[in-house]
Amino acid sequence: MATTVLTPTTTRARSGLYDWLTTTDHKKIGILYLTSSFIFFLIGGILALLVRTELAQPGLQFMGEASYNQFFTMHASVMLFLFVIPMLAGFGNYVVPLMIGAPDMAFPRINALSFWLLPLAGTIMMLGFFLGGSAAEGWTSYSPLANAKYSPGVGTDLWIVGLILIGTSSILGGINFLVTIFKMRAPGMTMFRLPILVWTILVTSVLVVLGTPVLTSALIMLFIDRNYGGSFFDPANGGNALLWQNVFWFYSHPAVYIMILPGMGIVSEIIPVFSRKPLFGYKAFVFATCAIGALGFSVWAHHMFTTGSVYLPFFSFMTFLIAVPTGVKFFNWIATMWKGKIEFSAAMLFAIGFLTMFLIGGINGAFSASVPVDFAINSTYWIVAHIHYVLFGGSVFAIFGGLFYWFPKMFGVKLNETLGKIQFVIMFVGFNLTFFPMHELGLMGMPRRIADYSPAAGWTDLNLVATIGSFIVAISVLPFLWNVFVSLRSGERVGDDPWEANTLEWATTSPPPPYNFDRLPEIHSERPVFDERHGRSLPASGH
Amino acid sequence: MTAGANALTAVPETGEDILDVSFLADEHARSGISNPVLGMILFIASEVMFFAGLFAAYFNIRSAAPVWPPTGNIEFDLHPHLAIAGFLTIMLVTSSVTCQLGLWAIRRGDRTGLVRAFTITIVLGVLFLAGQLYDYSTLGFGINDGPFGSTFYTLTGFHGAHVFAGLLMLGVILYRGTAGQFSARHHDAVEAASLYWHFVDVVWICLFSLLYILG
Amino acid sequence: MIRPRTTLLITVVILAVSAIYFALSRDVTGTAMLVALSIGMGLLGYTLVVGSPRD
Repeated sequence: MATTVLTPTTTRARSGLYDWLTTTDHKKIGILYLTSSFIFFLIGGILALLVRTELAQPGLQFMGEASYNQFFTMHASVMLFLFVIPMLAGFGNYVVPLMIGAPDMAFPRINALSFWLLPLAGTIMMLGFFLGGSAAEGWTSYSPLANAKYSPGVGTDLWIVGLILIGTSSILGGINFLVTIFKMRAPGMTMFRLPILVWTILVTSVLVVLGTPVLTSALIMLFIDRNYGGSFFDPANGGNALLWQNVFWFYSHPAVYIMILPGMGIVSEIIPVFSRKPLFGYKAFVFATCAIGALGFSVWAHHMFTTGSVYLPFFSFMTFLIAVPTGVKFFNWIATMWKGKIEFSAAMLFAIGFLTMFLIGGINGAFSASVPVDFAINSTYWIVAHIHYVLFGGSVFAIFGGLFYWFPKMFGVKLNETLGKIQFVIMFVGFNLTFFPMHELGLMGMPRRIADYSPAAGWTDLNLVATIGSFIVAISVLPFLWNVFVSLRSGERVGDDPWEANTLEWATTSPPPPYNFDRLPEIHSERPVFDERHGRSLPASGH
Repeated sequence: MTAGANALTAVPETGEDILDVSFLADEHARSGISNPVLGMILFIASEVMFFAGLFAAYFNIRSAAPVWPPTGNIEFDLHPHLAIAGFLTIMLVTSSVTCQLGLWAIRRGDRTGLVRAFTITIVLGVLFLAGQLYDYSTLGFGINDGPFGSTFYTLTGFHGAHVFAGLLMLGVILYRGTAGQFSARHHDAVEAASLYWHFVDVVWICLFSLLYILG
Repeated sequence: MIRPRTTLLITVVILAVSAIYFALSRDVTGTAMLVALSIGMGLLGYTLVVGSPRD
């Protein structure tokens, strides 16, 4: 009976585009996630270039304030919600079932739904550009700036609807990951043998499932305020403007960890492989990840220090506390590399780039955790520098590291290493040229979100440097696009396990067959493929 | 690609071998709570946080207001509506009971019992929504009547939307139940839908206590 | 790995944090969200531990 349904002819008839549009295979959905997110990365990048171009010199040369506001708002929204979060979810989609020895995600069709909501939401968000202007009140959308009086026009409403859809996609994805990780593990894959990336996706999913709905409720209240005469956030009408900030940051601070934890996970997979050593302090790393997740929910009001109406000592203390588990992780990464046989592949270079740049992002963030310092630097370019050292220096470097690391698994061919190293050098230089001067600009008092500044302010040179840097970053993406193109056409073909890696995804073919595994190695540690390669498998028991 | 192609070309007579991943998913994977029910409970946890945002807004605005309910509109006093809201509460709680009776029925393999109990549940749910709409029509204020109107209609309105979603779920279960798709062993969807219905009930009890009793 | 009852500690700890937070700040908004978080995260933790296979 089942033969008629599953004959190869039936499968072949569904090849090509139709197959990609209707697939429920986690690997294909993962690649769809990565591709769509990368397209949004390019869109967000172009918006960033527009912003930087306008800031290169004092005066308004290329656009008015109205367009400028739309560009920086949509740059942040696209990069955060349509690039970083879905990109990392894409890695999770592709790699998590393989790493735990599962045939697919727990809910394959919901998985497809999670993905397809994203292009829809992205389109809705972008529609504002063609309907009289997109959202322009900053990605934080503070009230009363975001209410109907100061942000009229349909752009902000489209932004709200798009963001609610993205949130729904995230929640469904998070539930899917949690059920997959807890229920679909292969025999022998106990919780403390899960690869670190799986642990970070697990904690991320908890943050997504419990944090994102709070943002949804905030967005709904904003929508009611704007369209139905509600008065949640309008002080003139008995509402409370700080309510928005409270509810918004209750999600958006954990969202910072949603955007960095999987990046930490990717780096924790790459560093041990290219240092030829096991990850130092596996359990400490797991507990540090859980601690970051838990503490992440108790620091939201450190974004509101200068409002004067939050309890400063509590949030300042908790924010400093969160640096401790992050420090533990740095210790783990460095101790893993210590005396290792380090191979500077492109993936490893990006991982090391992550370590150094994220360290700066952590340190300049800790400054803002101190209340008196934050009163001086809040809403200056210092904050812009901080967020980019964390999200670009952190997440984006980890993402490129992950792309170089798993590309052979996804397509059976390696990305060109030389092009990768060239890309890394250009990107690293351009990144620092763009964002390091922003520290100084912030200390000099340059506020964020301005289109113009006085020539007498003394900010001109540093802004020009930052703009040049941003174009160097843009140039660094070109070798990557070329690299993907030539590698897919005629890249070096590789076997199942080109890096001599540790985790289960390397035990199957490259690319893996449908349902992933024809056989699984015995799992006795968090490094089953390493164990099998070196014959360290314990005597099989009970088989 | 190679292994995948092999698996597809080498179709055995039954065709089941392609999907035979039993070495991955043995009874090990089936222990604990089933995937659909687990997914539903996680979804409910996220719904808790959705209502947390709305409740937090309510508490925030209420604690900042000099008097509550705000003066200026005599209709803000909801105590005259306590009777109808109380009646609606009883209906919703009863529907939770009948929902649970239906679940227990299908756990015993009693399909008729499931269909009968879920029919009553759906009728009660529809009556609840109708009653809520009637109550709305008798209230002398709207969603744009200051913070009181905004919070009241947002909280009860989104609860109503969840009741509606629950009714859709129960409707699907009822349809599948009449088609005989559930048995004592296979009824994950019934378990999941009933959990959701209980959650919606609990949210209403919180809302009723907060808005109508405490006022 | 973990006994299901142990996961109730999640709720207890977050409730304690909310209590401390409320005692210090008197902020009902944040406290409401933290209390809800204690319910949500406790429910999530308990279900995942009960629901997953014994290792």
